[in-house]
Amino acid sequence: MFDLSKLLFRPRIIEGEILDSSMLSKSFHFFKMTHYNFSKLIIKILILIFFLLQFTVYPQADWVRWEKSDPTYQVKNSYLERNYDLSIESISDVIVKPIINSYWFFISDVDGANCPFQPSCSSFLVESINETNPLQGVVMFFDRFTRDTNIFGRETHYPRFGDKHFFDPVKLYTLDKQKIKFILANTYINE
Amino acid sequence: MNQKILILFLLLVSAIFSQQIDFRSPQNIKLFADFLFCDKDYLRAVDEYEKYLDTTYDDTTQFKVALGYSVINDQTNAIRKFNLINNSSPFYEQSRMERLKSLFLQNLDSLFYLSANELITNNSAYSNNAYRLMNTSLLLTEHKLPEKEKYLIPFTVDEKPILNNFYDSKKNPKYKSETLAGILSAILPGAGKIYTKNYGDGITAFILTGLFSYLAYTNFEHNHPTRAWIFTALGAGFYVGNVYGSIASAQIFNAKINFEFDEGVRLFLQEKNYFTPVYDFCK
Repeated sequence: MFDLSKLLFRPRIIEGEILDSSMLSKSFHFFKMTHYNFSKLIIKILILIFFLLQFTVYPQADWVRWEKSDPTYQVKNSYLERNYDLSIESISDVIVKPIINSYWFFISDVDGANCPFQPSCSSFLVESINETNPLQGVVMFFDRFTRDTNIFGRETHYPRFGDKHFFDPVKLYTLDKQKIKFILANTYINE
Repeated sequence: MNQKILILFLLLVSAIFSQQIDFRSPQNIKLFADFLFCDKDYLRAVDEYEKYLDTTYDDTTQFKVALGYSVINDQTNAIRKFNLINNSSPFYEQSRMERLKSLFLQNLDSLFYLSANELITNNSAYSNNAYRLMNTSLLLTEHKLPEKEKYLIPFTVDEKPILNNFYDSKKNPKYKSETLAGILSAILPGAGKIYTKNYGDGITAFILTGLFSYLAYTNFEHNHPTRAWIFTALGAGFYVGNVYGSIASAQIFNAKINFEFDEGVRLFLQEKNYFTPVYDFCK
């Protein structure tokens, strides 16, 4: 014979008095379990666990339906995505890549992403050389540097890239009209 | 025991009576779809209408499905559905006009002009609407525009001044000359950018070029050739960059003019609902 009441109702203090366990067991005699009742209790507990499991298992189905995402709260730094490649693919790479890589590694990365534009002026130089040729790329860089020096009227002139940068892509300045895709000032470009 | 019988009875009764309302009946599906359509939930309305059309053919519903697709900008399906409306339907004329709008929004130029000409020449109830849509769409393409008087014929008195302005802007866009911008900047650094209304950049270009030129000059004068040549190189870089930038600035200015013109025409078409009729299915 299994007596659950003995297990459940141990002596305890009620208003300062210690109650005898035997008294309690008499009072709650209906809790006395036969083997039959015990197996019923186990079944009930199992059913309860089963239903509780449903609640924990099936809500997970929602992740499948809406697709699981791996959000990151890390602040994106455009300079971290720089290609510090030193491979030589053209003649201009011999001069440009060591200079740009040195500038990025020793100055820009230490100083922080302070260029108000996207792409930054140094990235603009690399991109413009890749897009056109070394001579035109350098001329485009001087023009970009002029725009960078001008601090007036930026807010009403450029689209925005993220929260902190003005979007000023190389394609606008290659003198190829087909490549120009005009974007209104203050339009937010997705990062 | 009695309680158990009572509970069983109630369960049975609720189970039996719940079956009496058939939510999946075509009529109920249509009612629900109509509600969604009037609630402007076109995506779900189309879905429900499609279920209804599986059981019953109804040209009004067919038209509403096509209209729904058009509103949610699924022009491919809209065109397909408008094509299904046959010429015995009272919605045939409207569906031709709506199809024309969908073809325009889908940028299917050759098919659009073919259908527009068909509608105009067939003396359809919406011939004039098609004519107006076609003429307005000409502003967004590189097609040659007809004479102004001929061009403005289909438009109403209210629309004519607006279209007149669009016509003039298309014929004589207020572009800035790239060559002139370059020449101006070559003569006076920054002048080309000021010409293209980039005042800040123009002044900055003038200051930078002037500053480095002055530094180069004074260093040559005071016999500091190394510094002088460095400043000369920088000054020359900024000078050439400013001429180049002025040409690029003129190109961007012209792209902006084109962009604003296109946006203006598209906005006008949206306001006019692409000259399509207004329907009231939700009275």
